[in-house]
Amino acid sequence: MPEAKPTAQQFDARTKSLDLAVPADRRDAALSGAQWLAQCVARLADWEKRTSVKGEGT
Amino acid sequence: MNPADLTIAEAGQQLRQGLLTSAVLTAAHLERVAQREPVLHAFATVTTERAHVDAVRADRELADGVDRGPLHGIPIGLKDLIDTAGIPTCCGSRVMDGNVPSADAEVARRLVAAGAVLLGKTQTYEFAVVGPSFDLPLPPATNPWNPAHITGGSSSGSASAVAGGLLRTAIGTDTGGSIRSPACYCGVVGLKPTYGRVSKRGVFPLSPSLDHVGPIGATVEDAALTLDAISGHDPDDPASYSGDWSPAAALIGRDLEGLRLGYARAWFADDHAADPAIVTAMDDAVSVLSLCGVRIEDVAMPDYDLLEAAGAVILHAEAFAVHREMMRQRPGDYGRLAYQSILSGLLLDDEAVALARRAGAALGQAIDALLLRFDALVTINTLATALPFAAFDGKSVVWTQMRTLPFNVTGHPVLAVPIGHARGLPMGMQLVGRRFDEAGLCRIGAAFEAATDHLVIRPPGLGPDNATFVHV
Repeated sequence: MPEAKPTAQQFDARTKSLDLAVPADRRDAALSGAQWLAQCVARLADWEKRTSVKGEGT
Repeated sequence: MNPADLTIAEAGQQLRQGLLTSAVLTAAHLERVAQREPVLHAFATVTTERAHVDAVRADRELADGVDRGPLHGIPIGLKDLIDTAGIPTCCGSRVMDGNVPSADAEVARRLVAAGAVLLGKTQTYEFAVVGPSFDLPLPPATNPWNPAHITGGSSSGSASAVAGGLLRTAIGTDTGGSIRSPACYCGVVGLKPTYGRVSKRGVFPLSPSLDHVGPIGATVEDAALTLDAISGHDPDDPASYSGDWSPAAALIGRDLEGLRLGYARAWFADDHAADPAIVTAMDDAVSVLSLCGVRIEDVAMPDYDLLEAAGAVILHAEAFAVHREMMRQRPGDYGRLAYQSILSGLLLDDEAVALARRAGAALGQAIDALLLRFDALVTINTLATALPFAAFDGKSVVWTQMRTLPFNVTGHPVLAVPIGHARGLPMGMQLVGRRFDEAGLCRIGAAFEAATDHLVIRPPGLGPDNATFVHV
């Protein structure tokens, strides 16, 4: 899973490994989006942890 | 009355009584296109010659006693993500410039088999991702209620064309609200069917497990009749449902006495982004349903933020997988907003997607449980009316709050219905039903429509009887 807050270096490393030539003016917005998605994953992981530990319903 | 203002059922009746021909009806719609398209930009391609050929064939068949059903001879539009043999299908992107499919998508094939008349391909946000964009081959579609405002998307052209009176019905796609939010912003009806009811074969994917194909119609009945024409099992679409379902139009006209409706008010009423005028209109709409005999009860829904998170993770992971190779080969051909949005999914891995699917499944089961107690749920559609284009700079995404994405994750059918206007722009609600119970939703939506005058009011200058709209 992605880091809770992926860094610019991690993002750039991933684009490089995928051979994606990201236009400079588009990189920051995409990175920001990736960080928001990482927060979404963290929220889901927290939900799963809570529901499995406490046996909560949804 | 201009034939273009007839409902599908009314036009169909006149066609069968010999009072109208499809050729005349089609000409009326094409005249509307000629008048209004310079402002609305609803179409990517207007298929004038094809429309004439389809109309002549429809008239000849009816004269010969061949009746293909409610859409026989009725002009329709198809979102430009949907393959049409011999007609460009460009997905609103330079990446697809020159793409002319050799075969119809299954939904297009079914509409041909139903006798519909193809008037054109309607505009879409680039690859159905995000918009409005200003760096694409075509200017964005505009909102007939005020062309300085957005339509919403991604089925932008379908909503604009129907609201603007260019068509009675058009096909859209919905991955996170792309039928329902433009329907809401433009004051028309959107019907996102149950996942699997309509084939997606030949429709360019955004996120295959969340993508739905469905109609945007001028009325609930228009949308229902269109859905019935495109529904059905497709053995060549792995996601296609092979079980039974009732026609969406089957229960229209029945009263609502004794139905139970869960009102998901807590999902939006205290959100600071919710326009107070829409909150009030939602309460008023629920009151109207109560007066129609529906028993209303506040309902506690699953956690909205969690459902949104699950949807966002699945959508971005799948979209990046779809586009990864094209983005590597042709990055400069993507518009800025779509490129940025798709690229943001590149760090999501299989484990994250599996987690999102587990959450989505659990939350979907929770909604199924609610729908054992209620015939349908009702909640807000968009939390604000359509923003002006001036609010968008084309460089960064402006998020417009809505409550649509959860039902792409869970796959439940949703009917988007207008509930009035604020400051001259439409507002809307969502009715959420049991899986494959589109008929139940359309029964409620049509009764609500009949009990209100929201659809009588037309966009300024577009009223059939020169009716004027007073901004309040």
